[in-house]
Amino acid sequence: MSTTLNGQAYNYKVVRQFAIMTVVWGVVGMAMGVWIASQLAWPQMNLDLPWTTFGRLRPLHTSLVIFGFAGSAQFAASYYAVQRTCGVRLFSDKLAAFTFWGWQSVIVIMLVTLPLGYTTTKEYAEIEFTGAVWLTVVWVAYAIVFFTTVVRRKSKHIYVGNWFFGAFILVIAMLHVVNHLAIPVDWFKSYPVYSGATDAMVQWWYGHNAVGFFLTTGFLGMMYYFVPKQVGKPIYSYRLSIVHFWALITLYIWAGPHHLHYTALPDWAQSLGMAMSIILLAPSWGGMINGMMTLSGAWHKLRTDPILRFLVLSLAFYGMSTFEGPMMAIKTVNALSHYTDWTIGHVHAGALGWVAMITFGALYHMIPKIFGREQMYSTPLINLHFWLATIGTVLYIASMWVNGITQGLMWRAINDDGTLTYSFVESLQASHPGFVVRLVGGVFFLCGMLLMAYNVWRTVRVGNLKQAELSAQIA
Amino acid sequence: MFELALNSAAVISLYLAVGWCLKHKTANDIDEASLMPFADDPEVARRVELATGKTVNAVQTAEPEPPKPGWGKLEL
Repeated sequence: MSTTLNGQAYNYKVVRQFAIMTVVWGVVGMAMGVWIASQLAWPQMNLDLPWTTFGRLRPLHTSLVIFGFAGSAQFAASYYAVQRTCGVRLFSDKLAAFTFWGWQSVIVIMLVTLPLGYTTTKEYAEIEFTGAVWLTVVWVAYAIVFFTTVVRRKSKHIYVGNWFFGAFILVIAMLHVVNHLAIPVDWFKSYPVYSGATDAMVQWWYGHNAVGFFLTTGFLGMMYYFVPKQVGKPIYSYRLSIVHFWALITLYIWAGPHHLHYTALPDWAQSLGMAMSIILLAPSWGGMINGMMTLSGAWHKLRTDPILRFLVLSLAFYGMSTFEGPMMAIKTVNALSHYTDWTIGHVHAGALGWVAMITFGALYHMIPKIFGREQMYSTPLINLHFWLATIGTVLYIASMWVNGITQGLMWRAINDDGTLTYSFVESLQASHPGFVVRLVGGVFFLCGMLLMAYNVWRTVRVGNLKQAELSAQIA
Repeated sequence: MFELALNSAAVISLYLAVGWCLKHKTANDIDEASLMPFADDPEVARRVELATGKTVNAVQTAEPEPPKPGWGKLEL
């Protein structure tokens, strides 16, 4: 083993900043989710104010958790992993700092404009034209920092985790720019260049790949770095990880039309989306199995390591939701599930179970290292967080399954004379217990997030930045 | 027929892409690539070496420099 130092250190400052903001936006975004869940159970929670109605706060919730929480987590993890696997400091401290402040300003723009009613109305792409242009500038800076760091690497090979981060950065840039092509009429209003079914198709090409690339590919990069690191063993099969990469990025991009089954979209496009979604099961499960099998011979570590529990459970939920997704993409299943709460449950199986859990695991692994501590302030608190998050996720998705199937069956029930058996309001009344259980699940999850914030605060407060800088020395 | 050609082209492209990534890679290269996350973490690297019997290359360490001859340790 070489034991020499070259006097250069990793840039941990920007990693620390993004890690802290991941926790902050996690608390705010999930609290917003709990609030809007309460609005669905008790409409009085809309407060009779335009700024606090469900229609305005729901896009704010999704924007905060996707771009604020998940986005900041991926910035932190990609900056941390790319430096350490390439053996070089991040390219340009100033540009890296710009990506931090620029990204936070994008989230603040969402936080201000969405409650005021400025929206493109496109799901997960609600930020209006001016904000979208600014987001593009920040994203290009991110691409420059990441890829230049990769180019300046010391090792010949690029670690597979960086391939996933790289694909996430490139594809999100393409999706964002194409979906946001619009004609601005003033600073806060624009109209898309597409119309009708084309507009819907472009939107769901973007929307599904927001899930596929923003909420999957980057997090798989995270998985390929943090799971081996926490287990203390290399990934089960490096060859499989390369097959996983190419198969995933080749297939995901075609699956969007399954969001538009039984609409004005041409039937062949719907069938293509369905077929590609079913094929997508293979790479998704290949990656999940690769991550899980990394624990071969080390399963006993789950007894004592709550961080590893987060990482493994996230893979289990990833496997579950990537099985459920292709099933729901089948047209006959979709005829029952579409427009019901089943879809909401499916999204949260991925969002809470996969995205949030792997983020928690990665942050608990990373935060002591970047703040110069041996470990987090309290391991029992991590354990409690794990159980709160697990119970919360299960309550959430189980209640939405029950609600979704109930709604689907009630909506399509018809009498002998061809009239509807149930009115919409009757299905809403039947859904009310599920809305309450979902709210309880959300409260559990939020409590876990608050525990994490407390644990991080106590760890950071006694952080030893000199020790962190010492351990950041590059060989 | 056209669809069949397209499907075949997609499968062949995937095969070629994976083949291109793995070309000239020996089993040893693949092993080394999979050990990259541990390359800058001496403590974990040693545990990985013990567990897997593989060598982790290019490990850095933050161990203090040995004192120079004639220099004492100053306690403040």
